[in-house]
Amino acid sequence: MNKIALLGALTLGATLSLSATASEHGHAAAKVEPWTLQHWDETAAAMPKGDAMRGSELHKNSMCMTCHGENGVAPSRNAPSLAGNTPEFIYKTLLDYRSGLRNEGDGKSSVMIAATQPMSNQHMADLAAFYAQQVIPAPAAMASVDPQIDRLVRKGDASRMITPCASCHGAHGEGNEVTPALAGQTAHYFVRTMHAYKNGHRNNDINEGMSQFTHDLTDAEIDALAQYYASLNRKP
Amino acid sequence: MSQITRRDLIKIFGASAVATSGLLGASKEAYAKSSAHIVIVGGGIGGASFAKYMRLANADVKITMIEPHPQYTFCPGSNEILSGHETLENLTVNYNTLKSRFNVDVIQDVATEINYEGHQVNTLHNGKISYDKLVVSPGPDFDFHFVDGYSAELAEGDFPHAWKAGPQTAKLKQQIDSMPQGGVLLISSPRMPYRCPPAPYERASFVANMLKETNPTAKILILDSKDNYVFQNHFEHYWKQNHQFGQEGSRIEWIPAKKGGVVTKLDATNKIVTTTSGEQIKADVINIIPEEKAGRFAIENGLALGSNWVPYEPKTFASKVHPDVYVIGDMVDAPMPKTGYVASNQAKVVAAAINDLLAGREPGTPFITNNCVAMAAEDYGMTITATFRYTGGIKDKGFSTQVRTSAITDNPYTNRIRAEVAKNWQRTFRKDMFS
Repeated sequence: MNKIALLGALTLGATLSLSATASEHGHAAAKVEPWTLQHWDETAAAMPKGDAMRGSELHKNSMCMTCHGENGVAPSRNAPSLAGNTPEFIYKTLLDYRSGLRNEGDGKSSVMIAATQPMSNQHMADLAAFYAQQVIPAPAAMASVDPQIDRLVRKGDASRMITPCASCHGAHGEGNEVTPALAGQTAHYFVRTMHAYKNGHRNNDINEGMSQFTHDLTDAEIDALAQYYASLNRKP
Repeated sequence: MSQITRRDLIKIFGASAVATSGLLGASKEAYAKSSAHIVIVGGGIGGASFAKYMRLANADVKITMIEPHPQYTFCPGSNEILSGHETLENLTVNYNTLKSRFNVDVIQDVATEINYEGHQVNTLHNGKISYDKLVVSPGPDFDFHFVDGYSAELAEGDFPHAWKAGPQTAKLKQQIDSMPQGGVLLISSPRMPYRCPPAPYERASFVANMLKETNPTAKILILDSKDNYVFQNHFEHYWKQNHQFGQEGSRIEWIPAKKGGVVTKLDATNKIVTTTSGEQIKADVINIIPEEKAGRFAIENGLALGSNWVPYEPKTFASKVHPDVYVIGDMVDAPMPKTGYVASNQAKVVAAAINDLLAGREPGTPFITNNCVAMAAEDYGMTITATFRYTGGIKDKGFSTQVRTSAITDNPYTNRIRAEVAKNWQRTFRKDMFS
């Protein structure tokens, strides 16, 4: 080991202050262009054909299963279940994480943003095919549904310009193409997502197709909708 | 518990059993009040985890926490303050949620003495507090005597160890930021066991990454009191790629104990340390991480039974001194690394055990995990998953251990994902206890 003799040289106030990289932990505004319907239609048309077998390998080897569960059924309330969701929704979500358009801030999206960086469009389509093939277990049905929530789901609320949830997400919450399935979804994740739309932290929806309906929902309604969808069976 | 009144118990078991034997491990007093009183000494990671999970397990017990400070600053993540990626404010939490949401009575006071037979803990300002079960989680104390000339006073002054996040962390950052061009930061890394084993090397890494930009000719010298350390292959992999580690002009130099890395003396006036080999080394910033032992409260109350660390019953973490006193966290002489994650999981074991005992059930067998995540940079993470399974035997202090460590890879995406997982862990871990 060399002796290290250091000159106690005078430093003339060379105090170096580093600016904290606030965006690492704070909410960084997405620099990516939001979706237009036309752009999404073109993207969906160009979506590669997915291979569920390859998707299964990726799911296992790229740490996806750590949070989303062995068969796409989340073992924790923090991560969404992906089993049985629509391939278009999974594909678009992965694209949005890779581009940074989906970034709810406060570090919440950082793992997914990092995880999608090495993925090609083919990888994403493969994962989408794998998750679409998995089956979400039928949850225990609710004893009774609050008539107001039932009405919100099936009729919407014209006075607040809220479209019925079921008109896009399906009568059984089964989803439709790019609109995700909600039935059986982790309630905690559902609530978090709705608040992210409501407070503007999530803006990867096409033409604010989702967020506009959350602006006037109350916290109690969001909680009740989360419970409703968590206990809904996709195939009654 | 709340549904069972004292009268019901007398009906079931007969008056004499209730009056004399402290049935189900609780005192007579507990039945008079209809629910047990559980007192916690220490509001760090162990104490806060215990308070929350005890409440989740049992809505009826009375929970009191004795903690001297109004706020808690997390150590996990505090090395990133040195490189400007994190702030003390972001790592600092208060006890409001534990009070309001989990109905924990947080008393800002210093616990001084346990009266084991009287089931009371004495405090500086609130007198004696009676308990049915006492959970002691004061964390470690620093032991300065291994380095002649070093002291708690110097640590509070110009030689911060910054091994407890707070003012010393800010002071160390200011010292590193003020180093002259080409200056030297000396880090003395202690022998095992100490809190968060990879953290001295994580600290060196984060500082080196910053110096590469701000003071590229500066050096970091790690004088180690050990011959090897956890994640050594990961750190050296990263340092070779980014700081010419092992080559002429390396930004980081690591001296193991066998090559004279043990620091024995500090000359604070001249900023010189002396090592076991007699060498004298001068540096611009000297960061000696002291050795540790169980917190003073535990030592003074005899919980360590004359040693530096606290022995325990592995099934419930009950103290060897008294069965109604439980011991958790860094001060415990467990075959587990001293990490916040382990402390929080020991806390959950104790909460479950106390809840079982109060209900007259045999406690379950503990299975404790440690998910240790460390970073060499904002885009280079590493992980260890260890499990500690209760064996019922006495070998290895009652637990069988399995460990899996992340493999070295040159895939930058994998290294970045691991770092994001580490940051995610820090964020959610803080939330788990304090919100």
